[in-house]
Amino acid sequence: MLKYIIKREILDNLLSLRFSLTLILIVIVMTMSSLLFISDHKKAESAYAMSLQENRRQLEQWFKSSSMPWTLWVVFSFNDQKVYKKPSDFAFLADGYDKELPNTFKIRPFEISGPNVELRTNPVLQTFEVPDWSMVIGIIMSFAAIVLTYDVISGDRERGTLKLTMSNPVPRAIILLGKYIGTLVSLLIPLLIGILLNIIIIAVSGVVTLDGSAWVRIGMVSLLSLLYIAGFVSLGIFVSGAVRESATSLIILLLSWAVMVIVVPGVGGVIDSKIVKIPSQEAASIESMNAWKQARDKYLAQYPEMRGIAFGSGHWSPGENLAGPLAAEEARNDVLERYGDAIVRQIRSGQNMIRVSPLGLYKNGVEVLAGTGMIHYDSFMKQVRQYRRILKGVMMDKYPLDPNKAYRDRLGDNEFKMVMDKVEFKSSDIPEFHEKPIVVGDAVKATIWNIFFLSLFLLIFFMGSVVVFLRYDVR
Amino acid sequence: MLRIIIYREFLANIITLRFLLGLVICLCLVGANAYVLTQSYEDRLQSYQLAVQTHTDEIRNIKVYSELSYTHRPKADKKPRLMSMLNEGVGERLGNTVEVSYNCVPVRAEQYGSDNPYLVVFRKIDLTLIFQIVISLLALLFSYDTISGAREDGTLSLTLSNPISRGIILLGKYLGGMFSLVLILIMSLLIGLIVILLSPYGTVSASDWARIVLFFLVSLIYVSVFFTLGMLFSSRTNRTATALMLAMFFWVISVLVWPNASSFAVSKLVPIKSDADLTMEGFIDLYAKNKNSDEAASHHRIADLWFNQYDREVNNYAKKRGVSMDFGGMMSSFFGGETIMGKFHGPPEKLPLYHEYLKFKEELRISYADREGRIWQEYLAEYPIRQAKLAHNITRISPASAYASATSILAETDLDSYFRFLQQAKQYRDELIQYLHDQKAFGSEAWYNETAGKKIDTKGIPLFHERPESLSSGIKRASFDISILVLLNVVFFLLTHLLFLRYKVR
Repeated sequence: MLKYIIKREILDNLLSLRFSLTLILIVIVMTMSSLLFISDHKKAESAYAMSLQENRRQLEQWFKSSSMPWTLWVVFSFNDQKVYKKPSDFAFLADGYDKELPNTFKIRPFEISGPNVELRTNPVLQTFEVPDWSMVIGIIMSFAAIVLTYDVISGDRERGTLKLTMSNPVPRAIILLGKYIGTLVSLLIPLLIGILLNIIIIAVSGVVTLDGSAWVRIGMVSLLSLLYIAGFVSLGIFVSGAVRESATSLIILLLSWAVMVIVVPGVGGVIDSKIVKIPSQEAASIESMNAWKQARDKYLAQYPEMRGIAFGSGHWSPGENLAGPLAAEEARNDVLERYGDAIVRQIRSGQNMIRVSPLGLYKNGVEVLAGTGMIHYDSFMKQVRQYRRILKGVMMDKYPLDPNKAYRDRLGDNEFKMVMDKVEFKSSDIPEFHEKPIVVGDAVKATIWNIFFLSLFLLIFFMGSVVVFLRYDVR
Repeated sequence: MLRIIIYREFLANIITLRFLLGLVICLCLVGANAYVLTQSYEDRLQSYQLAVQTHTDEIRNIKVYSELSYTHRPKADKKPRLMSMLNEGVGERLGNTVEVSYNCVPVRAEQYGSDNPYLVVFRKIDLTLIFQIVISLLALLFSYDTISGAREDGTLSLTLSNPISRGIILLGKYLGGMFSLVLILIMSLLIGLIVILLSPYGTVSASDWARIVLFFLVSLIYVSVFFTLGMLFSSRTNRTATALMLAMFFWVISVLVWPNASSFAVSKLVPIKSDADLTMEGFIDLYAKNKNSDEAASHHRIADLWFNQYDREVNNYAKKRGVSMDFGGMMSSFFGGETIMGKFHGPPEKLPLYHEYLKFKEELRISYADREGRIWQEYLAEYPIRQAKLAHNITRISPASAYASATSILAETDLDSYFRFLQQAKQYRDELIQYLHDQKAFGSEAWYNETAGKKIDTKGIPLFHERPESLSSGIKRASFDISILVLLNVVFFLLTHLLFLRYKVR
């Protein structure tokens, strides 16, 4: 009997106008989405490759054109290495405003400056939501789910078919389950077709290599999408059962959809910047300068003979002692890193607030899996910090002398020059920075709560609809 | 008779649950958002005031005129608009402060006082967005069953049995339905206004009131588009459910899909040339690559302007007049500005010559800055602006975008208002130049020597004052969008009328 109800529900839906409209809309938007992603991604990749190449070429130029100890000085204290955020291969799942978030830092063993945005888009072009999966499924499919479910029960009652169905010896729970599965399946058909089209176009174009881990990501996103849509279906059935008239059910559903999908995700930022306070940029820079001064004074108290020698211009120049300026810059860096973390935390907490809405949960989950948005930026920032420590390690390794000692005559000092000349230092000694994407396992782990809450959303309304339907007055 | 129909329709609407729900939701959303928007407006106003204070102090405390050239360039700050609550537009995102000096033409604004650069990840919500989405949905929900619903419950044949033309009935149904929507609109706006007025910063000026009234009218026309559309679908089909589905999908496409998709499609279809050839950053990269400044500069129009042409002209002048390097100060700088402080080191009898040289050099900078500004202008007009305008025009086909465009003009947050601000910053530059000429600052000792006999009068340096756009010119600019909306209304209504005349009542 269950099978029969499901089949009837699916057939009923497949023949309806709303189903064909949904199907057409999803197919068009998903196809367009993949085409846009392909052209976007090609551009982003080539810009990324060019930036990396350019950065490396400049470094090699310094090595070619200068000799020890100038190379050391130039490379460590003067030349900025630029590091770039790698465009995510999975931006088609969720763009997460990746292109508007900063994508580059300038970096020396002593400090990180930035973040900066190297614009590759038109700044005066108004940006809307990128038509990626999280937008198409999160907004359009959830809308379609509501339009397809608002009259599942009340419509049947109005047409009188509900009475007929109930006259059969089937428990109400089974009828509800049949209706639920039938509606869900008829929504999954356009969803699946859209997803497959999108993936096939992207796979054929070859801009992204889809390996095992990619399929895990895509599979997980599909699972999230399934849960999300199923959640809206149960919400729709619940309201449809709780309200007598389909028209009322529709208006309740549409208004709550507008609140959950459009309004709540938007107010998070403003509310958040009111609740979670961060120090102003000026305050942070003053604090960091104070930390720098303190560390410098501490160093000079320890090594009074360094007065007037250490802390010349710039970070460090040949002959100058190395340890003092380095310690002071570390102290400054600590403050700045803490400040950087605070701003990221502010945004993350705002995003957590948005997770009260199913769209917030869903979008956040897809962004984690796709490795875009704030999560991407945060991981990039941490990797850049790690890279600076590596650069510092290289510098300490290559520095042949006592870092606590100054060499007064700089290049004139014979001992200094002799030792320096023996340093072997090639551009290949400096490791390249390649941003690593968030590991699939971690991403999946990070979405567990989203899956949990989405399932909760689904279950609550499903239970609600069971309760409502069991007590439903069929007349 | 018309009055009775309107009255009946209005009453029938406002006692429904959908009216109550719509009203409650709208009031809550508008009230809550008005509060949030007021808060963020207060923040922005504070950082604006701070920015103006700092920038004013900076130029009031200069010691020599040449500080205006590079280290203390005056800045023009854009005041946040209270009306930006109606529509945030692109204005905020494009920046609100710009450097202006006699040797620096403002072309691109930057952002002041943004403590968190990552807030872009949150979509901004303003009243336009709420009305655009929620009230248009309500309009469809109010109208999708006006005709087919009346037919289904049998009232239509009763109404038609009266001796009135079908046109009057249709008009009555339209007005009755719209009145109930107007009620929701007015009450939401009132709630929003009360919240704004409760804030200490929420002083609403006379022109703001006019803008709010206009915003209300435009919103009304927009809502009416969806109402007439709902009626159209309702008179097209015999079944309410079909009318509803068509209406819903039209809504999704015009509100959610079209505005997003077309702007992206344009950014892909109309390629844009990067501005790396114009920015100084781009030049420095090029310079590092080639190691040959002349060659690099020749590929780089703005660097070529300053680094080659300007430099050459100044050097020629110096050679011809016999100005030598030891006079003090740098000879020139390709950044287009320099601040020199200190005393004249050369022989005293050469002082007038040095001043003449300075005068020549700085006045030459004015014309070179003009040329730099023109190069930028050409680039912007050819690429980014053209692309943005195209995208804007294509999205405008959708009523939701036409509405957003009209309200952003009323709120002075649209793209053209941003250019208007830049234009005013340019006029401010002319004032600055005039002031420097009046003070005979170019080539004076006060240009570089802070201990010169005559102290400079920093109080007199003009400050930037933004002049808001007059309402009439705003209306003129918004008239195109408004007429699109009116046109859609007329077309939908006439079509409905046509279909209704042939409508089978049974």
